[in-house]
Amino acid sequence: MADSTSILRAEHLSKVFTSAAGTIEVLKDINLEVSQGESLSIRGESGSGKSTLLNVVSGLETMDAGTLAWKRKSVAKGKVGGRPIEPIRAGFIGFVFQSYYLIPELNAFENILMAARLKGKVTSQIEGRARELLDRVGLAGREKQGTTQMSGGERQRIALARALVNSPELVLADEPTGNLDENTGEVVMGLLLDLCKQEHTSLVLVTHNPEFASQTESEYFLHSGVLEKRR
Amino acid sequence: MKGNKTPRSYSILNGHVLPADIIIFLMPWYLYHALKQLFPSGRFFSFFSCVSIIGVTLGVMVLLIVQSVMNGFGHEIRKKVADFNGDVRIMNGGIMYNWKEVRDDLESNPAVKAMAPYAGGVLMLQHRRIPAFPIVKGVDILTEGDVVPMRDYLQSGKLEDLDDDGIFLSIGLAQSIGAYEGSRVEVYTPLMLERMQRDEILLPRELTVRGIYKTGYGTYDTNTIVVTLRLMQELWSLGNGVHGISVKLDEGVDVDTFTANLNKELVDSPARAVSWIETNRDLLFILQLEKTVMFFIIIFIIIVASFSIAIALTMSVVRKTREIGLLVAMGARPSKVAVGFMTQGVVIGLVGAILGVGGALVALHFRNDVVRALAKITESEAAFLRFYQFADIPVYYLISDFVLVVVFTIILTTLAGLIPALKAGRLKPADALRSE
Ligand SMILES: Nc1ncnc2c1ncn2[C@@H]1O[C@H](COP(=O)(O)OP(=O)(O)O)[C@@H](O)[C@H]1O
Ligand SMILES: [Mg+2]
Repeated sequence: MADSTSILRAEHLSKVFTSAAGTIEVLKDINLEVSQGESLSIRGESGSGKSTLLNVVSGLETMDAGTLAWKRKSVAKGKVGGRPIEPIRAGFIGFVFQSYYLIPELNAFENILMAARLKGKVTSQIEGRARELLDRVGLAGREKQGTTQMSGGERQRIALARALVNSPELVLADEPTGNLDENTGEVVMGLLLDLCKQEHTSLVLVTHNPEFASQTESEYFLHSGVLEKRR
Repeated sequence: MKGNKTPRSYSILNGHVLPADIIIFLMPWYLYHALKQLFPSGRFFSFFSCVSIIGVTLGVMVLLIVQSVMNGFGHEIRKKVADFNGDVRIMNGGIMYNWKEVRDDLESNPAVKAMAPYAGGVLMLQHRRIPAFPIVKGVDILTEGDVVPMRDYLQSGKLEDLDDDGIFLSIGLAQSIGAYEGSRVEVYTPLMLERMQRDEILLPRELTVRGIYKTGYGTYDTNTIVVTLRLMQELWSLGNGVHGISVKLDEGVDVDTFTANLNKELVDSPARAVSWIETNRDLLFILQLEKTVMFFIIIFIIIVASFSIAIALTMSVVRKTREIGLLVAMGARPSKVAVGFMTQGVVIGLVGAILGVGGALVALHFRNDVVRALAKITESEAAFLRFYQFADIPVYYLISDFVLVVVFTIILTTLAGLIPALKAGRLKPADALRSE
C-alpha cells in the first residue's frame, strides 16, 4: 500500500516541559517516518506523551531537539521551508480529536467548509467535495442541522469529513473514539480507516483500543516518551 | 464528482445564489467566523449579540435625541437673540451723529437686508408706586419693523401706534408692575438723577402703555421696554445722534465674515461693527457647554455597554479556548484569530450605531406625539404647555453630532473587542487544545 514518498519524517525528536514542579522530558529521541498512504497507530498509557507527539509533528508545539520534515521540507520555528506554517498545515494535515471540537455556531455543512475557508477560499468544487464527504460519512441531507443537536458519533463523523475536505496528505487522529460507545466507535473507526485508504491519505492514529490499532499497517507503542515499533 | 448527488443552492455555478451568499463566499474566514459568532446559523441572533447591540443602540439613541433636542432649543434661543438684537450692530462707543452717512454707505451692500437706528440705556419705571429698572430701546418705528419682528412680538397694540408719549412693555415686566395697554407709567432717566444732584426739581416723564410684547426669550420678556427713538434722543440729550444702527442681513449671509469685512471698511472711522454672536458670547458659550457636558454624561451609557461587550467577549474567548486551538491547527494565523474577535466588537458597534441612529430619527420624528401622550397619561398637559414656551419640542439635526456619536461608538466598541482579541491572539494552540 504505502509507497516510498515520505510524508513525515521525525528524527531524534525531544520535548521538555518546564513547570513549577521541575522539568520533564515528555518525548525522548523519537524517530518516526510516515510514507504516503501509510497508516500507523500509537498506543500508550495516559500521560505517556501521545498528544504531545502529535502536536510536535504537526508544528503546533515546538521541539527542543531533533529535526522534522514534511514531504522533505524542514519544519522549524513556525516555518516550513522558510514559509509560514499555518497556511501550509491547512492543506497538509487534517485533525480529528477526541472531543470533536466542532464550532457550535455553525451548522454541519459550514463546519466542514470551515477547514476549506481557513485554507483559502470556498469554491463550488470544495462545496461539492464537502457534500460528497457528508454523504460518505452517512449524513447526507443533514447539512443544515446544528451540530449541537447531533449525537457524539454523528459529530465525530462531521469532524472526519472536515479533516478530509482539503484532501490533506496526512490525518492525525488523537483518540477519535475516546468519547464514543463501543458500537459507535467501531463505525467511526471503520469510516476513518476506509476514508483514508480510499483517499490514499496517510494516517497516524492514537488509540487505546488494541483492535483498532491492529487495523493499521504498523503499530507503535509510546512508553514514558520512548517510541517503539511493535509491528 | 463522485457521490455529489445534491448540488443545491450552495453552489455559485448552479445559479441560485443570493448576494449575501457571494459575500459569505468571498469573506475571509475570520470575518465569517466573527459574524457567525454573533449571528449563528439556524438561529436569528445570539443572546450575547442581541443584548450587546441593544446596549449600544440605546446609548446612541439617547445621545442623539438629547443632542438634537438641545440643538433645537439652542437654535430657538439663538434665533430669538439674533432677531431681537439684529444680526450686526454698528456703534462707535458713544453717540453717533453721522449715522445717516454710515447707513447710506451700507445701503448698497448686497448682504444687507434692512437697517434701523437705535438708542439704548437703563431707566427707572414706576407704575402705581411699583418700581422697575428695565433696559430701554429707542426705535425708529418706520424702519424697526424691517430689522426686528416687532409686529410679531406685539400681543396687544400696533407698532405704528407708538408715539413720543407712548411705551411698549415686555410681557413679564407688564405683569410684574401690573400695567396694561392704556396704563400710565412714570419714567426717570439717569439724566434726571444728575439734575437732581444739582438741586433741580425732579419731574418724571409720564408715558402711556401702547402695547405689550413677547419675544419668547425670558430675559427680554421680563426686563425690556421700547420707546420711540425721538423720545430716547430727548431723554438722553442725544440731539440728532443715536447709539448705533442694527443691521439685518439677508438669509444665508455669514454673520462673522460680514462683520469682519465691514470692520475692514470702517477701519478709518470710529465706528465698529459687532455681531450678535460677539455680543452674546457668554450665552452661546453656556449653550455649547451644556451640550458638551450632556454629551459626556450620556456617552457613559455607551462606555458601560462597551465594558459589558469587553467582558462578554473575554468570557467567550475563555469558553472557546479549545475552538481557537482547533482554528489554529486548521491553519488560522493567531493574528487573524485576534482580528476576528475584534471584528465582533466592531460589528456590534456598527449595528448598534446604525440602529441607534435609526431609532433616534424615528423617536425625534414622533417626539411631539410621544410627549403629548406622556402628558395625557400623567394628566399634566396644561402644566406642560404653561411651563414650556414651545408648544412643539424643537430639534435641529447636526450632521457633525451624528458623525461624532457614530465614530465614538465604533472606537469604543473596537477597544472593547481589543482586550479579548489580544487574549485570543496570545493563546498557544497546543495549550488551547489541551485546556479543559
Ligand atoms: N504544556 C505543558 N506543560 C507541562 N507539562 C505538560 C504540558 N503538556 C503536557 N504536559 C505533560 O506531558 C505529559 C504528556 O502529556 P500528553 O502528551 O497529553 O499525554 P497523552 O496524550 O499520552 O495522555 C503529561 O505528563 C502532561 O502532564
Ligand atoms: Mg492525549
